[in-house]
Amino acid sequence: MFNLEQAIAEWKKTMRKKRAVQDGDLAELESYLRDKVEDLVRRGMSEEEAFRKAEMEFARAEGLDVDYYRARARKRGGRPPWQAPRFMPALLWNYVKIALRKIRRQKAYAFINIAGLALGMACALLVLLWVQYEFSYDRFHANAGTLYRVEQDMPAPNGKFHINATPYGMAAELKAEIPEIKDAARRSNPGEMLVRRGDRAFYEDGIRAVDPSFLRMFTFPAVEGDIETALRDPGSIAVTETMARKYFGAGNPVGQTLTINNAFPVVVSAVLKDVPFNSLLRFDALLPMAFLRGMGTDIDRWGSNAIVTYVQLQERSAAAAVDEKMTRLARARAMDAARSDPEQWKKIQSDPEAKRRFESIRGPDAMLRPVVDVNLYGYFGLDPNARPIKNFTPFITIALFVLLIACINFMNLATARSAGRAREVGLRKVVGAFRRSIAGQFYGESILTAILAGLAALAMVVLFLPAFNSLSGKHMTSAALLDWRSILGVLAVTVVTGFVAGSYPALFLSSFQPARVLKGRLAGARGAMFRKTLVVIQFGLSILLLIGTGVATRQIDLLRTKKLGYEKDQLIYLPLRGETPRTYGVLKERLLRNPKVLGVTSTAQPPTEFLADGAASWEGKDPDHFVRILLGFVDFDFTETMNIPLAAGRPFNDKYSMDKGKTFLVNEEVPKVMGLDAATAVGKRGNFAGIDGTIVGVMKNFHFQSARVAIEPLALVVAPESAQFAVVRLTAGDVPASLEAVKAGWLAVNPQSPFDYRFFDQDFDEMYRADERTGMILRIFTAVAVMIACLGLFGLASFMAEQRTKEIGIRKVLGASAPSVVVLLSKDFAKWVLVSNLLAWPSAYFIMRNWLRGYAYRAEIAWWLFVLAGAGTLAIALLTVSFQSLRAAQADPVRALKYE
Amino acid sequence: MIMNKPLVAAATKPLILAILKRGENYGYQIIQEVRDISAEDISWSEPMLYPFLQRMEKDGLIKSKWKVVDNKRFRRYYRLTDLGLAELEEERAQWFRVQAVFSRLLEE
Repeated sequence: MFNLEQAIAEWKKTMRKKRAVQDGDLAELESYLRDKVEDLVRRGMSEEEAFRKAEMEFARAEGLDVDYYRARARKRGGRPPWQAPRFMPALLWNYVKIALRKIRRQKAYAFINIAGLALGMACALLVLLWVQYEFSYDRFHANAGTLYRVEQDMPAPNGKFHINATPYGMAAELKAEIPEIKDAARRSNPGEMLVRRGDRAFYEDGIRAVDPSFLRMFTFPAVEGDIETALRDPGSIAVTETMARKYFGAGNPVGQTLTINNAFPVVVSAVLKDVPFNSLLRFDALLPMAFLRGMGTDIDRWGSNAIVTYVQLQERSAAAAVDEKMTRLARARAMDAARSDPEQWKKIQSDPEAKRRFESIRGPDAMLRPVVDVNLYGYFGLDPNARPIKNFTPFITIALFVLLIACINFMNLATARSAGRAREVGLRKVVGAFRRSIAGQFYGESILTAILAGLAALAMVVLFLPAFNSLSGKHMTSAALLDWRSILGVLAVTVVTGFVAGSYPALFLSSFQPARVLKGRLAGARGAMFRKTLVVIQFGLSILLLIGTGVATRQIDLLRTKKLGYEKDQLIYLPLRGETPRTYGVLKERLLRNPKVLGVTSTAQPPTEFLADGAASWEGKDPDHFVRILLGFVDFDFTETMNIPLAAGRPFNDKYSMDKGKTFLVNEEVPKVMGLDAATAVGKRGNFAGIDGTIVGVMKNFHFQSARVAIEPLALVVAPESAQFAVVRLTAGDVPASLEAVKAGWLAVNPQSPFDYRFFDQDFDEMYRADERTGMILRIFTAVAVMIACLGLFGLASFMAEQRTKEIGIRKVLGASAPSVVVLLSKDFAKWVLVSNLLAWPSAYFIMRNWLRGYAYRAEIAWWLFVLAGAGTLAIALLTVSFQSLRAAQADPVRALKYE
Repeated sequence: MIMNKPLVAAATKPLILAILKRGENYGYQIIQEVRDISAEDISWSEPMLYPFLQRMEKDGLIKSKWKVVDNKRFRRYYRLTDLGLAELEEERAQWFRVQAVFSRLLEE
């Protein structure tokens, strides 16, 4: 039964709780309430309905107490005393003091916290710097926004083949025909050149030939001379400061002469500042394009794609329109070029294969790529996804993992320590702290710690950057850290880390109920599950990294130690430059006279990297099926010098006149694509990359490219006249003496050309350097990750041991042995590390299987790697934990029990 | 038509002053009268009126007095002071001024 008086009494009770509502106010409000109820009853409501409705008015009147306070306050507005202020400067200083005091009083924890976070942040910062560095390529040009490289999609039998080269004639015509193009410049790599000044002579591979407009479009400032006129004269050269010093020492070289390839004198017209490392246009010297004419190059032709063309647009937005116009122009010119050669044109009309090839070149698509994008998005070949872009995703992932592990550490330690701060939180709450302000305090503390860690991380980055540079082959400077984007990045990483790391402690600690906390019942147990989960994640990530590093290392070793199919030791090759290819025959004869030389042969391409390819056809081949074959021009004695065994047939032999260009040695892949075996392939005729001939022998497969790619069909043809490299096998034993002998032979034949040679070993080592670097960085990051995880575990273990001091004391008093206590304390951790293994193994397996797909020859994902990673982490974890548990186990129980 | 909150808030003081000009009155009745005259267009969060009245009293615009009415029911009655009357005139002049400007603008 509803009783109005009772209901009003109840209502008064709740109203009394409102601050600033005084007795007089309440009396007035009561009279209002009664009036209202009376009124409503008069209108036909029941007493109860009327009361509820009137009461509702008060529910709506939120902030009534504040209004009363303000009505009486001296100042209009103002904050009632029971409302928490938004900002209390006095307390803020107190927070900072407490944070610093905590750091001082718990040095070990503070160290673990800050060092762990700093390491993680240093990793993240390094990767951030690196990403920024990769993005900074060629952005320093004043016109960077409107500069483009002309690229082409060539129709190929299986898709579009993307190239960055263009015909010589393109630039001038683009500028003349397309009004949106403000300027155009060509850049050509004329290859290695012998540069001489008196006795100083070096092979230079950093010389580029460019149009005078190149220096107008791009920003390569001059130290001496004038960039406007530097390349106007075909006989001029602009050198960088480094190159100037190399040939001229300290003086001003402008006006001095250098000789190129012992034949062409050029006058230094300008000295340019060294090109920054973050430019893909790096050069040591620039020659005018017109200089190449003197060397016999037709620099206006449209026939082949030989050089790179850059354009500067009037404005950015025109790019798409220009693409279209360029494509039209390129197609028309490709057609003209074919027609202008009557013999070629006749062949196209008669030969279906040639016709098809011609039709395929008829349709290139030309497009612009912003110069600033080339470093990250430029690619070459069929598949835009297979491009060798700077792939930093693995590193970003790993750095984030490391950072995450460090954050987890931070959270773990903070929550673990929270029990010790429960009283502080309780007391703060009792004297009026709101949850919000306590959370704020802990956020503040963790951000402060993160800032300290961030400073330490910055110091680490500055300290380790040179090492990271030499490891990664980059040229980053810590000056980049002063860039506003870096500063913002560092600040963001710091604050976000502090915030993320501080969230759990902040929310967890602020949720303590003061009454319970102060009574001594700690909420420690509640965080235990959370902490264990974090440990599992942390160790799972570490195990993932360990397994990944293991697989990657094995893969790189596999590449490095892979049998090449020939003996690469004591094998060197001499690049034949300038006039020296003509002397190859004499050189060979002369070298072979020396007993220290076991064999001499030649190749037209670096023997560790055959790249020339073409289409293969043979009798009975499906004409619609395109088969790619690589073609190598070699000398007789190739297989003998390289020590490549034959599977069938015979090697090249100079007794057979046919063997000069009319016969092939093929590798085992060729019979495979022809549907034959080695024995039956011998004697078959074929057309390989445009050459007709008979297969006389089948070589066992050998690697003529990086072992990263699969061995492809290869045909060798004898053509010593196109020798570009002389391959020499030395006797084992005294290599320096043998090299001396080869040098003597070389200089006797080519007195004008410096002796230069390379070991095959060197080449292969260089090919895998990038992988090695990746592996090295991976190992370091992994080590850091495991280290941080252990730091965290150490902190956690010592906390656990401390918490259980009394328990251990009692156990020992009751007769537990020290070893059994150690087992007791370690068991828990061991269990969780095992759980992380179970979680990490499958993910590691899938991730690494995916990664290995990029390689033709894959290391197996060995099961023992998993076991090793698991056992390793377990051992490290136990070692870390046992240090603390041993101390706890050996402690005197009396002291443990007496405490407090 | 329910009037929007800021306008109601701005009108609260002049409305109370205007009602009290007719004679002394108490909270609930003030609320009822405004409600009746405005045909419920103006609706307050009712209890909020009371701190407002207090503020007005503190500012010297009105004066309050407890009275026992009917049988032993306490009510606090408010009446206008001279200052309140002046304030009402001031408010009225301002509101009419706004109204005049407003209608002139709409006429053109």
